[in-house]
Amino acid sequence: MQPRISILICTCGGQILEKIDLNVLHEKIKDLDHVTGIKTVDNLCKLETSDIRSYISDCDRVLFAGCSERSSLSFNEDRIHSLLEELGIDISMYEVANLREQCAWAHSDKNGATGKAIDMVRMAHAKLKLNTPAVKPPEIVKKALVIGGGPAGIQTAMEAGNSGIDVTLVEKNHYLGGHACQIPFLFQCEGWPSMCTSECIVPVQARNVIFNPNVTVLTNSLVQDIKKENGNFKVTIQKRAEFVNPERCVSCNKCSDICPEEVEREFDCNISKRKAIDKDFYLAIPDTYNIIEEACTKCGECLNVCPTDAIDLDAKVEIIEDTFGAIALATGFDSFDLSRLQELNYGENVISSLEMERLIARGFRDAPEHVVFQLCTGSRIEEGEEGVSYCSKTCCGVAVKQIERLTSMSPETEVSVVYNNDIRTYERALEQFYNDSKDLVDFINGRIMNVERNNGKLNITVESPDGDEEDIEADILVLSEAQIPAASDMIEKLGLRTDIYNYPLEGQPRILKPTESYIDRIYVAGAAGGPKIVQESIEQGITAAMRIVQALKGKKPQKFVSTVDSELCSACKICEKVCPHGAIQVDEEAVVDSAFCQGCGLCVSACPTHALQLTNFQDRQVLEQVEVAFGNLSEDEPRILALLCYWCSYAAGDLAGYNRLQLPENLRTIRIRCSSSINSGLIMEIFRRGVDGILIAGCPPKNCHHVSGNYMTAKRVRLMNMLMSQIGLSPSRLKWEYIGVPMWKTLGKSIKDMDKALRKLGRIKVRG
Amino acid sequence: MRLVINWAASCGGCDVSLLDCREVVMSLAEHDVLYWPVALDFKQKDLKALEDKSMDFGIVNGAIRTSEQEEELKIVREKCKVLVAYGSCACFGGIPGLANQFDRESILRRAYVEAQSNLEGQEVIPKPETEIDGFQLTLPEFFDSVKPLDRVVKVDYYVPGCPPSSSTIEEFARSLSNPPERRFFASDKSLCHDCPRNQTKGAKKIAKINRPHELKADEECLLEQGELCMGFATRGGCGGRCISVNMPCRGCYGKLPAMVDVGDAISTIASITGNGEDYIPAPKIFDALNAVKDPVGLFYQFSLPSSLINSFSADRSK
Ligand code: SF4
Ligand code: SF4
Ligand code: SF4
Repeated sequence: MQPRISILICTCGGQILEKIDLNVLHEKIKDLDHVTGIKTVDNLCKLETSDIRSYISDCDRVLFAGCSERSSLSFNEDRIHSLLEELGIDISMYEVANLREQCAWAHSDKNGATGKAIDMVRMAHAKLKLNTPAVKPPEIVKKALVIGGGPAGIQTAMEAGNSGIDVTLVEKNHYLGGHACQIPFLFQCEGWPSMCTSECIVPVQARNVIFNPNVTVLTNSLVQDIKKENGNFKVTIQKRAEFVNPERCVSCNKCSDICPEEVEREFDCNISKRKAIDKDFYLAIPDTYNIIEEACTKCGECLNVCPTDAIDLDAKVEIIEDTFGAIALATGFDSFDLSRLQELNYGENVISSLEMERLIARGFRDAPEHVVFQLCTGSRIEEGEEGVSYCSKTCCGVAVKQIERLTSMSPETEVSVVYNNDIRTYERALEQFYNDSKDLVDFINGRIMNVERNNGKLNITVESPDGDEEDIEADILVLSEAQIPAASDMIEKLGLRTDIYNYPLEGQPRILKPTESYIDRIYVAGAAGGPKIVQESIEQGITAAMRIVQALKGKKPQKFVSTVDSELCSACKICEKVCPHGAIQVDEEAVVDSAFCQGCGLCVSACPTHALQLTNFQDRQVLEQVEVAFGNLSEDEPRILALLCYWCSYAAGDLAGYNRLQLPENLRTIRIRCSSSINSGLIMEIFRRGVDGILIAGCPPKNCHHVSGNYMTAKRVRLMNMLMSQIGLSPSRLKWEYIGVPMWKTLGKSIKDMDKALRKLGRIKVRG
Repeated sequence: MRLVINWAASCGGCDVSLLDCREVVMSLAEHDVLYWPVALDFKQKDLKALEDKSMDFGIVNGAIRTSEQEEELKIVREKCKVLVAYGSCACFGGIPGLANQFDRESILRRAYVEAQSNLEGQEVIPKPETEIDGFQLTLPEFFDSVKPLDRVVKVDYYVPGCPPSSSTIEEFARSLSNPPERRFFASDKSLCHDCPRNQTKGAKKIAKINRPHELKADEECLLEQGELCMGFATRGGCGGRCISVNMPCRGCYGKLPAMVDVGDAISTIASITGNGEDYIPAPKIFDALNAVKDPVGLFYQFSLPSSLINSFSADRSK
């Protein structure tokens, strides 16, 4: 069926009318093909839907000529989407000619502005007629997988479960609670200088999922494989052999009493022993005994004493396959391996802060005379040192908290703290713990250079920032070890992009997207995303659950989706490398899972075969716009085309107008997807069609919404500039700029500079 | 089958490639070769003497650089029913086409004046017409740029390669009696499509582009190792002769059907290089591309004259 286009022109209460002769505009666009009606209204944004319905006539698409769909405070794209939904028009079937911000407000000459306005409407029209209906997303399975049963994971599972989502929680240990149950006293929060015991908190939290009818808890289990399939995640979970049936076990300890095999108790950081059949700690949930397979000799003693017949020494691994619509990664943190810092002699009496927690939990047999803490061990390192360069955030607070515990248990113990230039006990609570400890502790600025063991004592050499050395004798040295991301295998299986520290990247804009990753419906909660105290992890669990509940309501149709032409695709896998949102998989050929595609276009500009195109942002549509973009400009005027990224740079273009920055009238803009949605061939083709200068702008460094599209285009333009110089084209014809929303002045200057340069160079010349 | 084989701006390798191919040599007995100046003593008048459209195939290698080459190409076209552009120079302009970065004057000046091998004080720039002792000497005109055959005459078939690989030549030789529908004796899919190394391509970006001597693993995708292997943007069908000996593909089989320009590969390279860019000062991100010194030479090595960028007039004198 032929397109039927209704055009709605808004005078914007006169703001557009003042600068643009709307009669001339109307006259010049009335014969555009497929237009079923043109209506000029006064305040589009103030109209009722019913009015708008009466103004648009017999159409399947609408062209709005008025304010910016990106920046308008009253009629932006979200409002347009809901309007179209109300009108029963496909949400892809509209375009906006941004006559206010980027024409009426940007040019003072009425003739020039009117000419440009005509071109802008023609551009929107040229694109709109080629638009296609939004892509219907697949059905999203209303089930969520939570990986990791620490505080964040438990909270996510519980909240989502309470909201009616079917949740599977997978935990690798035999018990829930993660590191939190190893820490006897937890900070309550950052604002209140008090602690809660994990012996209360963890069971309270864990029971909430164990008894939640919507949550299936799989302890002693691993996520083996995750595949994206038709918009969902197909997951294989390995449930390791369950030698003790939790349904039967009453935790009577009879089996453990008789079991002859002893092994180190990992829960206690190996400072105590357990039996091969045992409970990791008495409050562990699920409340059941377990067998450590490697330690069990299968002697069968336990079978004889179990009163409930709960033990099955032949239990087998179970493989569970299921499909989920959302995943929360809550795998917590790992401790930096302290043995890599050889000078510290990690081992007997030189312990990690987690081990100190266990000592505090178990109590000291003999009160130590002197305990030394070293903060930032493996954190905040300089280049070339072992460890991580970031601050692990919680360790200073943890140290002063442990000192509080230690000194109250053993007031005669002397305590020293070796710190790295500053003590980062932030916020009210942690700073209070620090202040309370000041009288009890000798704080030494410096760094431990050497540790020797000598007759049960430690000789510790500390070097001050000035290079002075001091020897301290101590019984115990507690090293506040750095936190590092756990479960890197899981991050890889999920295909999450990471930062240089291997933490999963958060979605941009991060401010608005806590717990969101770059992959749709994968959330990262708790310490898996960076060091956190428990309360923050809980907060993140709640946030992630909220997002899951929303996301599992299903996806809306998408205007921009990447599509593959399998005739052209050569299965080179380039797109898989490039897609920041994990939407593409290449086997025999590339397959885009539209439910994950965010329509950024990064794959489009990278695909060497041009097998990939975005719906509603096809190369052809860009070229059709270029064809009509300068129709009202005299032949000798240089043509400038600004390709502004969907988010930051286009908004800067709008702000330039808002601030009434006057721009050259020979400028036309196209709101592109990510700045990296335009490939170099298309750029060359635009030049060939007579555009004299092209400016591409994208988000500032570290702010790309698609991980690195801005850098890709910066590099693309750099290579093309080199190429242009080689063939004698002035590189000033093609420019790249990082333009954030408030950088409208920079954008304006760049355009004006280009205009000047082009006037010197003259029009681009194409041989036949 | 009656054949004409001619050469234009080429290195001679294409003719050698024909003679190198058993299938071709064996089949010569079945065909009448009525013009082949590289192999036998033919003169232009022999070519001219042939009747129009009396030849089944004209096979021309080399690009068009001079008026003589252009003239002969037009004659071959007239004499032959089917014209085949043989080799990358004939198909796309080839290596001689890289000269299109410079105009005629600067090329001649470079060759006959500036080059160290010229005797000082005796530099002579050849001209189409020179008068010596009252005699009028003529030379073919040296054009301002190099053209592939299809910019001069209609070409029916393209046999790309620098030179075409033996498998391509065999396929071509076999098809003389039964010309196929498709016009390119090469795959419509990229070299990666058939490359055994493709499976080793991973989902991560490439830290930086390296120089060929920095190659590490023998079996791994060359691009993955940071080599600028053009296999992803080049038609397959060559049999992967370069990559099988650890040499990155340089693109002699030409761009893929839907590419706007062979330089579209620039787009790809810019997209797949660079790691940890958020953590380095913005200008440093270009370091990943430091090994790319000569984009025309790399991306347009065999195709500059047939490329889109070749259609722009220089802003300044080149
Ligand atoms: S980059 Fe293009 S050709 Fe390569 S696998 Fe992806 S879609 Fe296919
Ligand atoms: S790169 Fe962007 S457009 Fe392409 S498949 Fe991935 S999300 Fe979609
Ligand atoms: S880039 Fe080169 S080495 Fe890698 S798969 Fe393609 S052709 Fe093979």
